[in-house]
Amino acid sequence: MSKATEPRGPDAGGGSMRQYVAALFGGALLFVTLLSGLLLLLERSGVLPPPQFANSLCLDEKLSFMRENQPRNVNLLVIGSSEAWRSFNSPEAVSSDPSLRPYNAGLCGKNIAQSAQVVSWLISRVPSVQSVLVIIAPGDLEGCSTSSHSSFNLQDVDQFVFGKRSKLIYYFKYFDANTLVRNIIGLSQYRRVTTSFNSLYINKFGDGPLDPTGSRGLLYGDPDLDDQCFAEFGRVAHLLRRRNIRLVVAEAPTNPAWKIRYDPTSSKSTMINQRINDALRGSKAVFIKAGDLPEKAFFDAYHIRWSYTPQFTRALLKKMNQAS
Amino acid sequence: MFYGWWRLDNVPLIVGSILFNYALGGMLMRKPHRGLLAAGIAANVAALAYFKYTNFLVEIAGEVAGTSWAVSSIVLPLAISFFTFQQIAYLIDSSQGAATEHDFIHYCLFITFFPHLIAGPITHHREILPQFQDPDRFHPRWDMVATGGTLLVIGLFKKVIVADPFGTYATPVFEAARHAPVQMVEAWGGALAYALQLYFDFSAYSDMAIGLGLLFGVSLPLNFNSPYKARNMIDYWGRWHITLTRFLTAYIYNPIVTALTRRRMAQGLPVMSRGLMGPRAFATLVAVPTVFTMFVSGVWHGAGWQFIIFGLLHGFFLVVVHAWRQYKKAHGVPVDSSSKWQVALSVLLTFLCATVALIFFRSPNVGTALGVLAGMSGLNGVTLPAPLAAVPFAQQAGNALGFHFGSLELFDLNLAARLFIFLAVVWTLPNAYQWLCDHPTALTPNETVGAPTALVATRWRPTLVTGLAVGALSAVTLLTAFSSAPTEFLYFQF
Repeated sequence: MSKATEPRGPDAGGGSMRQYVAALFGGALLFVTLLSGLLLLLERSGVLPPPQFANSLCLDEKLSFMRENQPRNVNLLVIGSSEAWRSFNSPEAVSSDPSLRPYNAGLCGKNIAQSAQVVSWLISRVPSVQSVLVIIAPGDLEGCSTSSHSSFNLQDVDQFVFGKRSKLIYYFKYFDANTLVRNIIGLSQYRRVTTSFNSLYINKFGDGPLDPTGSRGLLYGDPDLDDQCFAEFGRVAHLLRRRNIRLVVAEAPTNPAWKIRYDPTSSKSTMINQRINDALRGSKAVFIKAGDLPEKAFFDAYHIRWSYTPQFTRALLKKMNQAS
Repeated sequence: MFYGWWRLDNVPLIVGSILFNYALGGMLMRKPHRGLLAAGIAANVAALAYFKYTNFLVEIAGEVAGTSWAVSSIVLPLAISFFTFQQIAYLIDSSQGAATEHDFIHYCLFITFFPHLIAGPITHHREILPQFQDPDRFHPRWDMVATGGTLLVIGLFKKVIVADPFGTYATPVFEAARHAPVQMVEAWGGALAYALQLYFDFSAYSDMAIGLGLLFGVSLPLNFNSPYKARNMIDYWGRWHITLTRFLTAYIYNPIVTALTRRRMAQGLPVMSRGLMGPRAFATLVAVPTVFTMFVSGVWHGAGWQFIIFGLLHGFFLVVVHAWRQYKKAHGVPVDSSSKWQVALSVLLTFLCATVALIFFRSPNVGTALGVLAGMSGLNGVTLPAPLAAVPFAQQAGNALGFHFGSLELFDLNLAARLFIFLAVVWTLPNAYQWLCDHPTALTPNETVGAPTALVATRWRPTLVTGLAVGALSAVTLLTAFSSAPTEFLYFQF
């Protein structure tokens, strides 16, 4: 046995060891205190990233927006993925129909099953909702049976958005130092601009205006449609019917370049329409298509430039009114 | 309680195993009996084989018979590989008179002492049981609490902050290689990421086990000593899972070599003389026992052909090293070079050999491992990361060699940076036991690891600043370990 491991009695090492052990605990407490201070400082400077509920900056940023701008007294809830977030123009909707009080709760990266979960959550919290508008793109109809129904802990997010607890708690519960540091970089700018692909600007309705000069050159690919996704429409329709809330499912236009490559005969689009109509049959929900847009209206396969969203939103509202 | 936390229904197994081996050990102490010892070893091996290898053996039988037999899945009981080996050693030593301590409570504690139960070290009764008899061990000692706590924090940091993130890079590569060819850069990235993941993971568990042991007043043996600094495969196995190597050497390799040496001597055949031997003696006394021992090591690590190949590859590497050393001795060349360049080259070569073997260890089957190796060899084409094209003359050099520049799904600059940083850490910094060399850590670490000799030759001192720094490190690590944040989802920003 080496000298280092020989037993030497309880006071081996003496005071310096006791002081060291105390410093271990002190160091941990000091770190937590300094981190809290840093977070508060970042908040005051306007560069505090959102807590990492989903560890996806655009989604977490939207949840953070929802905390600061809780949906109250809204009558039209817009739901979906980034397609809904980026494409629905609430100011245009309000100017077209002043009786509308829209709230855009589109969360990027959500498939339709996950969006259904968001519908269920928000209508339980916002009793004033009269209509739910679900805007979909073909990519939202993938992976419903394989992915988790929620990419975040709904209970925590509910408390975060509608509760009164300090948000510091969530930074500690959802601690990821790497992402936290990375998210700080450029955050201030991304929250202001609407021309960068990384834009996180959100207007007071929850829309995410984005009007970049170029194109991302992304056509995403041919979606692997999942039966479970179509079944979700029936589930949401049933849920909203019980609450006497109107459901409108809208298929957003896709980039003509995407259509030429992945749906040249429109057979996929026809099949999607048919299956959604089948899922909604028997409910009062309606399915509408807002019409086509030229290629220059898109900056990738699905997402519409903000300058073209008034046209899209007006067409959408017109179809909604016709269907009612 | 610790053992039953995961699956309560495995508790009777470990209790039964302890009772059986304790009783048998007592009988063998009183009256050694070869048949009884053999039966005891066979019973332990049979239990291990049933739980660990039944599915694999049935699969092989099915393949031989041309059918697809299957058994209902058998869940591997926690730590069975570890407590089986510990108890086999106890039986053998009891039979040979080397084990004398036979207190039931101490024996139970020796087997179930939770810090080392699930990932080693594989403790030996001679080094643990005497500690239980020492009442001094069961009073809190500030020096052990200080160094034990420090080792625990270091281990947790390695596991949570270093090892696990490497896994998020390695897993997709091995998953991709199951189904499709992987590019050279991606394959190398995946293989190196796994080599570092496993290194820091195992190093972390060893540190945590020893640290936790110290918090309870028990010193555990060193199990991990900077193996990627090894200069050859013999050195490597003296540094990687040290207690497994010790067990395999003492209870498998040495008995085989002794038996074969005796047989050759009885037959009048030459054996080793002045450290040298002829080709036939080498084959019989070195190659066969080495390859067989490493075959057992491979099988012990897991059920599947890939583990057998992992073991045999290491056997082959070890035989080559032994043969090379024999060659050097025979020609009067110093066995270990003192040239820094040769040392660096030998360390690199050893690391590459270990990485190749680890590809089999990580892969779900042999086909996947061969797929990764094919990718590393450039057989699936060579696409270099697009940012490299911006480096002066890179484009021209790439074109001349037939390489392309493009985006790689399974390799990014973050991984490249992480590999660079942590390979530098592995090769240039002292390990935790060198850093803590003036204070109690593992059993006999000073003789094994020595003082820090690496580029950064610092030593741990129980100062206020060090305590605060390690405490802060523990906070980062614990917050990360218990974080509910999912793995970062790099979805397109909308």
